[in-house]
Amino acid sequence: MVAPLIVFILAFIGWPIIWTMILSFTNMTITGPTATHFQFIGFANYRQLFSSGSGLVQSIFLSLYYLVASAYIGQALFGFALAYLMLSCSMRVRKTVGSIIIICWLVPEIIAAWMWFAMLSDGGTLQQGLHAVGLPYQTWLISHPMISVSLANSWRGVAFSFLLFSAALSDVPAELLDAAKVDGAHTWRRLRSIILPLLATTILIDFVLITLGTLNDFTLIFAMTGGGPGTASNVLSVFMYQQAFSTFQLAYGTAIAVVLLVIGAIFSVIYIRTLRRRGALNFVR
Amino acid sequence: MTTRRVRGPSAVRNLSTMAISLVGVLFLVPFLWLVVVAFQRHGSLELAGGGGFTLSNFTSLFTGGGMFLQSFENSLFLAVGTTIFTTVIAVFAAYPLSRFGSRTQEYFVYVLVFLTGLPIIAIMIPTYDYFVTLNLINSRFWTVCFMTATALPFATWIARSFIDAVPRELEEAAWMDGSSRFGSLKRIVVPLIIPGICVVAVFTFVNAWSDFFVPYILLQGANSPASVTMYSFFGQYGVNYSEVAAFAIVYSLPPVLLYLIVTRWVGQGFALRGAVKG
Amino acid sequence: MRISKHITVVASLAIMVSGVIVGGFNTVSGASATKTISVMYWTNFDNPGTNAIPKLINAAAAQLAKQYPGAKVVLDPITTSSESTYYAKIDLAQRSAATAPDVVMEDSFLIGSDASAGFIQAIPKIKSWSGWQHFPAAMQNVVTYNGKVYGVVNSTDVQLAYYNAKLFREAGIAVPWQPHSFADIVTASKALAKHDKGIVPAWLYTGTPLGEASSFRGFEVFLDGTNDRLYNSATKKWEISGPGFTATWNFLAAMRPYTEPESDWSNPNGSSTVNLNLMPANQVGIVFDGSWVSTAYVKAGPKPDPSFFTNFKEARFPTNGTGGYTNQSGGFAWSLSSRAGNSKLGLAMIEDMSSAGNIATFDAADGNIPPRTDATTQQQWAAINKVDPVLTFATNQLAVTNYRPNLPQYPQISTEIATLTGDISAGSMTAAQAETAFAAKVTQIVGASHVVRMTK
Repeated sequence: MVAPLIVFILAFIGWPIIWTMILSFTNMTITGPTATHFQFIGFANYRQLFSSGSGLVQSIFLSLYYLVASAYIGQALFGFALAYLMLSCSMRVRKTVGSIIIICWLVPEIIAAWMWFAMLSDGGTLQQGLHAVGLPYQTWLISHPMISVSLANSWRGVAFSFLLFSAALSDVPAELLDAAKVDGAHTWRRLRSIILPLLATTILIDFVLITLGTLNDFTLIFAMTGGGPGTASNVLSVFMYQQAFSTFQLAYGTAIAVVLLVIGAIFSVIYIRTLRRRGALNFVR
Repeated sequence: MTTRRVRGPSAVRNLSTMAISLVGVLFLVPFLWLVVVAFQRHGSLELAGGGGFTLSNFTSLFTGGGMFLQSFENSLFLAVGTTIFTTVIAVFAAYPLSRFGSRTQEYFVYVLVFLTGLPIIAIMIPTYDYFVTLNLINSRFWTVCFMTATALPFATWIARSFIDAVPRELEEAAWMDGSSRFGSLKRIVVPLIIPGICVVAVFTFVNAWSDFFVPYILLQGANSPASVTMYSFFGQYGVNYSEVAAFAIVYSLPPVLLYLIVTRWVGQGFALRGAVKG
Repeated sequence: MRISKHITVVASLAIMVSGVIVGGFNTVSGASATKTISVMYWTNFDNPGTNAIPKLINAAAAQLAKQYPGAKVVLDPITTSSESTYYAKIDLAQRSAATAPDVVMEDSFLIGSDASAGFIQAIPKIKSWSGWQHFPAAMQNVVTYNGKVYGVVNSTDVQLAYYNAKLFREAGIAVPWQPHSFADIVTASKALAKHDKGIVPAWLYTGTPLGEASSFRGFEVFLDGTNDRLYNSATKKWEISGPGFTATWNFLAAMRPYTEPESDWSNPNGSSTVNLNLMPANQVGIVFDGSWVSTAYVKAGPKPDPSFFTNFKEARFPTNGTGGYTNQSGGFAWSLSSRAGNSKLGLAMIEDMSSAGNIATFDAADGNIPPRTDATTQQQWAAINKVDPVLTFATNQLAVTNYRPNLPQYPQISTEIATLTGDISAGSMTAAQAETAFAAKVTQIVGASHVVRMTK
């Protein structure tokens, strides 16, 4: 019964991974003589990638920035805050706002990119709004591209963490939550010493899923800034795309892909070890 | 999810209600422009102007050119196909992984979690090359297969945690009566994990419907889904923003409607609780 | 679980085999549809000629159907605002029979590269076609690689220095203006900047987001005004440095304070920003751009605006201080894909699209210069020349124009040039650093035995 799963994964993920590794040692290009008759060139792509000025270090840094800003802060932390605050909120507001947040998550990514692009553009709604109240606006997509894309990704993705935490909080015994509320002054301590430990597994799983989703993200940034201005928002996935398709060096692009795979694998292994230690992978609680 | 509400000092309650309401309003801001412009004649980045109210942007989607209908149909094919394949395969695979625990099975689950985290984007260039070699390129069916493979690890992971929650005793009774493994899955487990199946299906559908990069690389021209069509409008001055906004709204509706229908139908068991239990 | 292991193996094999079989069917169905050919081309919502290409294809298809009863032509547009996306898409499409068109619109500078990749096929028979002799030698050379012809040019252009006469007068610069050196251009830009801080004194294509235009319009056309060349076809060597290179890199660095802000050139749709926004609003002093820009503003064009023609005048590209003029031309061509299902029909289609009448109609609508000499005498072309005075001026520049080296290494070298122009504009490199980096990159791409340093 597991066979179809294995077949699909081997055929459509397993082999492409191997092929990625193989191509990264070749000189395959989009056009020119090496487009179809490519040769093995050893580690040349990797030497070029790891030499200074290749842009790799900046891209890794930007990917991590995006991960921390849009996933850990903008989705996990913010999502938890929302879920927690909603516990003590009027039912109507809770339902309405919950639906709004979920709708943001359901909107296709390319549409989210377009809406945010329009809002943050020169002459867009944000600029008009700020001007209306007498505030200046510099086009964020240009002056703060990473903040722009991180905001958009938080807006779109917070629902996932929010849903996880809402569900987990609803399993926390009411007395504990009530106590935490009544005793206003000690809210923070209660949160830290009682509620967070109860939610530890959920938090961990949330981190696993959003980390991997965010490292994988391409569409939002590609559509909003194209990695620019210059290379200011060139996260790894966009960097890979540009090297492979805009500068015609397919194989060099796959070498970047291998770096992306390795970073994904490192995160996966860390999380799997942690989940395993907590017994969280045995599922039945 | 119980509707139990926490009682506390009303000041705290009012404060959090206000904060949450504010968040709700802020989250709506990006939609504002989209919705206003979609009903204008020649919308721009500005909210005002736009040449008056009209519904023609929506009606012309269904009459003019056929590009919209074509790409919408492609999106539907990809998303529905991927959802069906993924859900069926995931539930089948999750059953033995949940029930017949062994060391191998445990490692298999690690592999699934590991694969959940693989950046699919990283393997698109070689996948393109490999699809060209096997002549699978520009085929909606093979694109569905690829998208299924990428959706399976997470879907199987969720499905397994739902099956874990079904008491084993129920099945043991059925086995006593001579039911096969497959039979007990069908008659006992599946009906009990309908909410879980819905989670898997909705999640897969929403992702497949929204997917841009995979079809952008593997499909072309008349086979392109709405996400790729939408991308071709980007940064084009010659494009009428109002028509694109109408396109965007109609394209965004199916996942929202699906979610609303399924949550209404399945009720409280939804909201990804299965995954949390894991 | 042993059984399921076997099933796995069998099923994986089944999938692979079925893939090959289905793939086989694809090929068969492609080959059997011999009466239908597809034409792949670039469409862009910004392009005034958005419909000019489909009209051209349909007109030619009607003629084709008369010659070959039952012949059908399918349009295969690729819609994207970015040129480089189009280049990548057609090359990816031509890797597979399932996606390859029969006829493809190639940017002429990629002909050598795509021919060497095996994507497009040589069409020696084109030489016996009656129309071929009407293409001047330069237009035949553009599509020739390794002695073989790989396409037929459908349009060409020259580069012009559009200047805003209104702003020039206000800034106290004499009009008509015609620079004779790089220094003249810098001086004018400086005066414009001093006159009005709110405008873009000079628009220069630069950086990778603007792709090929940054290399072609932002560097090479200026280099051609010096004694150095990118590639010397006589010695078959790439020139990597020399006084001309130094002058050109220095010129770009000197222009840096006066060119458009990074927010404009880092946007892949920058050409729309300058052509459709800044120019009609009189927000830019000098624009170095293709000769087709004005066509959008003629009466029958997409943005009719008579004031464009009174505000903007054209100057030629100077040779740097030697009193002459220079130029660079590009253009698109129709090529036959190597994976074409029906090469004979594809070739006939290319010939029909390239008739004097069809070329004249297409280029008149799209603002290009017809590559075929007898097309310029057609009445469609005469008509557009009456309403768009820029075209005559542009056509006269063909006498001094140059073409890019039609070699497989060119696209990669061009990418390096675009990157370096961006580094200069962003201020992350000086002219000297760019010159050194350029020499090193080109040497790396073509090999040390194929480069030469110029000394005078």
